[in-house]
Amino acid sequence: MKRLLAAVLLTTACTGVIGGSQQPADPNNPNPTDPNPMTPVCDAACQAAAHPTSCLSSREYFEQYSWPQVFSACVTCHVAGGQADGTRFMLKATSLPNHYDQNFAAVNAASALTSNGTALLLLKPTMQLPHQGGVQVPPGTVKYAVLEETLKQAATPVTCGGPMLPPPGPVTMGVTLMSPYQTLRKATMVLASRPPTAAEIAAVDANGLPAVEAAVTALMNEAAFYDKVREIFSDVLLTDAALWSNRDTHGGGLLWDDTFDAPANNFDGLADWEWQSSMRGVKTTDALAREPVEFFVHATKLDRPLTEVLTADYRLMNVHTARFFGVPYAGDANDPNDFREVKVAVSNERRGPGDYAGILTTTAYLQRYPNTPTNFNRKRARFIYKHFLAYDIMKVASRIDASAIDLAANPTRNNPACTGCHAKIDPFAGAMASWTECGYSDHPHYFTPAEKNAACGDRGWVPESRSFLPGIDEGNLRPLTDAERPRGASVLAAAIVQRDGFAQAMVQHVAAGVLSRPLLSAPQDPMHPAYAHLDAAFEYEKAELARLTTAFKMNGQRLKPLVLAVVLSPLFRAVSADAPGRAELTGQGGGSLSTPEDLDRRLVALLGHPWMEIAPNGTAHDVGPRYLRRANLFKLSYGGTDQSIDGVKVRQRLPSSITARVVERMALMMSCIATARDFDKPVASRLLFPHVQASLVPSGDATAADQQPILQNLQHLHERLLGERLALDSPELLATYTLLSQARTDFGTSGAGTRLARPCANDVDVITGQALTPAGTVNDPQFVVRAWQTVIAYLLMDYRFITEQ
Amino acid sequence: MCLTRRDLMKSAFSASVLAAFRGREALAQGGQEMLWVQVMATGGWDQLLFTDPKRGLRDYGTYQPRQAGNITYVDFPEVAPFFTAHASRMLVFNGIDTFTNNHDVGVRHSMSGSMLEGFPVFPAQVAAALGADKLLPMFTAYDYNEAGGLIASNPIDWRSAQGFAELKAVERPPNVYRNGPGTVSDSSTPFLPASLRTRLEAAHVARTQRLSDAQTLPGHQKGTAQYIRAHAAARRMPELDLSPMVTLPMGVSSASRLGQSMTLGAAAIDGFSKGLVTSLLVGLGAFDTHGETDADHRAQLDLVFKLADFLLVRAEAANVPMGVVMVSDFGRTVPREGATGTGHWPIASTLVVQNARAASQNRLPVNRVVGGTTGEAASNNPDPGTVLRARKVNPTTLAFDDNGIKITPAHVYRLLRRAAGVDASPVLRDFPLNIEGADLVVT
Repeated sequence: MKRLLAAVLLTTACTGVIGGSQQPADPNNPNPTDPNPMTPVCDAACQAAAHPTSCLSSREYFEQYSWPQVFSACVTCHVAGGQADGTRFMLKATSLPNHYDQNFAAVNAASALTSNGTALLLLKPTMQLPHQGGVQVPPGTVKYAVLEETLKQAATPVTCGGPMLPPPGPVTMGVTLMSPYQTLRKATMVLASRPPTAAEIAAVDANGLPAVEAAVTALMNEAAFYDKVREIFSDVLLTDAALWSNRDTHGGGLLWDDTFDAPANNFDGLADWEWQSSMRGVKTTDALAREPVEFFVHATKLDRPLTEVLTADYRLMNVHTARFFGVPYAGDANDPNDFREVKVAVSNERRGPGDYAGILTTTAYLQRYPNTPTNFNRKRARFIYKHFLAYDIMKVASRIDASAIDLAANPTRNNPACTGCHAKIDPFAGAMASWTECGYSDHPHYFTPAEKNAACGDRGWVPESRSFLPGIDEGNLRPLTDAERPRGASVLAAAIVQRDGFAQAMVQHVAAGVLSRPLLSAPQDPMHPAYAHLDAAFEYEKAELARLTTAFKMNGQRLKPLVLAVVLSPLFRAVSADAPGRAELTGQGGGSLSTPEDLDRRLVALLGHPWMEIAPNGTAHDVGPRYLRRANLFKLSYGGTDQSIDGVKVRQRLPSSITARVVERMALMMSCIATARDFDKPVASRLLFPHVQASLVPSGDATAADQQPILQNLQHLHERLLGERLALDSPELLATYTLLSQARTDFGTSGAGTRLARPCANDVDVITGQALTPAGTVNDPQFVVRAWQTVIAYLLMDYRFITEQ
Repeated sequence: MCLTRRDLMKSAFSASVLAAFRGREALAQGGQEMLWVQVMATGGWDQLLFTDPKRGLRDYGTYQPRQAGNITYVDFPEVAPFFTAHASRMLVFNGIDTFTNNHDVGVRHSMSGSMLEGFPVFPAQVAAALGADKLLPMFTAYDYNEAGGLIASNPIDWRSAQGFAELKAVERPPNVYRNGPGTVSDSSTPFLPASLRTRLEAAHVARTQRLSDAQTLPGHQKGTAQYIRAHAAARRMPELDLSPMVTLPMGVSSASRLGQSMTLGAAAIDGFSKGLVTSLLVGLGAFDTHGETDADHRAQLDLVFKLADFLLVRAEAANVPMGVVMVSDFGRTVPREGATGTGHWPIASTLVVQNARAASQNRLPVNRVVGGTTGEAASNNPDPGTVLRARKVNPTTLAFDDNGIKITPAHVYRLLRRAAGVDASPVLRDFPLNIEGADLVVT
């Protein structure tokens, strides 16, 4: 069958090959003898010139025919910085080493754009539809024939003699979605770091997906969900870099006296650098660092549109920042996560009247994406695009030809090789002009118009001869008025949230966070053996994101309905396929390593104990003694980030050997701590052992009647810790039973005494280090506690426990 | 018993011989004969200040361009010691066109040979091809460590290294001295007896394999396969010698960074000797000296050259053949930016430096400069705008040729892949290095 298909394709590719061709005088002119000049025809000679005499693969045909005949002309305009920059058909500059590959992919992608069933690539350059570039491919010419052949091969690629990869199957076919229970389990673990409650399970078992929707909607009011929201958006903004705990890699604080001219507390009479390391300084620093992500939490708690994260005309403060600025605070003074809306008197903060722009004008965001003496806010502009308009300028135009650049001629304003990007970022950079002193690197704060004028030549900013005007659109399409310039940030923010890109950006951030993985990128190497499959996966995800974006906008751009929509999507719920090895299903389902923050919370929820240093000495830890929270314990080794410029900014999503070692350490230590302590609870309160007592000995005969409580408890553990609902006679459950039984035997023959060693023995509080009176379980004469401890370790080391399902 | 000095010497000798033997054995077992290191000079270094000098365009003061064999360098005190010590084993590429003046893209291109996102850096390519199953396939001490999914890169720094002692002894409760040793945690008693831990390990491996066999979606197939591999490799964690790391200096000062990189590099060399490590990724510097001076930039050069020198010498002493690939995001503009600084310029230089043990393997030529740029090293350059343009070369003769090719990072890394013996590795099939025209023939 494959051979037959290949033969068909080969025939197709070589159709029109005519030997002994005679070239017309000008093959690119319509046939002069054609009686009807309106319908020129490519004659035999013309056809011959458009088709090879021997088989060429589609990629080879593109390089030898399509590019020189047709697309080498297109690229003069349809390229970053060209006159057609921003259209749906964009080619890559020929200066790129692999531009043929990339342009082959670009043309294939653009071939799918049609009008009434005809490719735009055919309609536009022939002027059958309006085309700014005029007629580039006259009908009846070799160019036209080559273009036709190119489009035909885009639909039916040609290979020559090589093995053909089976084409990807439909992405939505053959994929099994999670059951309602599985969906519930995954949602509660991902969004709230806990297993589903018995009531949630009962409701879902009875009512299916509608009950899942209800449960997810309800859990989005839990504190752990808001932690998850913080983590999703701090991964995007990377503003946690400024947390005091990251000071060793971040290298800078937020509390400087030239940022805040007159803080209410006047730094308690200390130098700014000295006050930063005081306890109050640390807490204030952390509050300022968290302010950007708190805008997302705040909007979510109040069920407001996410547009408010940019349009907010207030700051968000907890008790510590309120004290710093000397403003009234109505929240919970004991809850550092209780942020409230506050406007600060101008005298207490360097800020212009009316220039609140949500996240854009927070100290932490400005400091994370700073001005430098030479970038003139362009870094800020780049990340504003990336964070809030789903537009990564670095992906659009990433290459330049140095030989075409005259640095003395203000290329960022005048050279097309540069203006493709700079026409986009320079206006935004200028809109943020009031938040930097032109040409100086400084701690971020507002500069008044008078200060700006003193610092820069052109109304406080880079002269127009060197940069596009401050504005809210590309180039000089919509420059800021003089009146708008002092509050350019808020004008820009208001413009950004009106664009489709804002909704797209929010959907992308939330989808990546809830799916626990980076979103797919378009495959860029058409020669990759699985290119078509990976492209199908990317296109499917893109379509899903578009669907989610539409729903997001229809729901008032609120976060909670968006999260629910992601949870119910096939991207989240895919659980298996009809066959392994289908690369077109990349991105569907789970497989990512959980985050250290998630695992930390889940351990508490599942075992009842945090994984932390035993009896820490009580030093003033800024993030506490939990193993998965501290960089100098296991946060980084388990794939976490500190988000700082010189630190780790990208989460590790595959387990490394170090990660595996952390998991083993966690499993051995937490099973030791949790087992005896759970047995000592009343049965109704137990998290791990609701069906057995420590006196029930696993005999090794799983069929014996007295062993049934053990099997039931194993069933409970598999469900509680791994989300597996196993039958009592399932092989997996029996494998765990065998381990339990053998573990007891191994302990018995190991020479271990009857007394449990600390900290497994329940005679000391592992958090405070204080002895317990009365003590709990300290003896294990039949090694049953330690056998269960082994099983708990086995389950905590499990792939399903440490990865998102 | 009282040991004599002779006894101690004998003991030390035996240990060193044993260690050397084990090291050779590990190398032979791994099929790898060279530790490849990538040293990243962060921010875009200024080649005019070291290996591609042009007179009259930088503040050379009393210093001047000199030759060490065929290698040109500026005899700044921050530069000269490195070149005089290593030029005889150095291969220099000048005039590399990175096609970008953007840091993100430049870092990717210069470290991997490709501008594409997700393309693995060179040490990850080597690690995936030669030692993906090792404890630390790519010893990662730099924040940009894209591995393309080939291996799981796990950054190690002075903070995370503090937890390694516990990770080496996962079987024992932690030491807690509050209220006296043992009153809270009895670290002398393992959580599980050794025989049971073996049984637990076997059960875990079997269970993960069952899960892996049952997976049909790509994400879980990849996740289970990687967990199996990582867990198996993790068994060798106790062999990782932490002694170079226990004194890791803290903080972000230049001196601290250099000290951290050196100590992590020493640990990587030791790990390579034991067959625990395949390649090393490390980086330093704040080369993006827009508003600063040539003296500031030279201070950064001092750091990376000291680091590279340390690694080469340390590896030589440990009988480890080492090849150090020194790269940066791109180069810097010839015309000044502001009064004293420089901007981003796409044309870059790369140094490949070997120690003697590596050079004796004849994988790469030494004492050689490939490629070049416009402008004069020996005389003043009155028109800065024409200087530091990449010159094309004939890929076969390497002579300058206007009809030849521009050298790109891909050319360099194709050459390095061949030198490392990984150019035909099937694991790199998904990461081809595309070039226009022919490969460089550097013999």
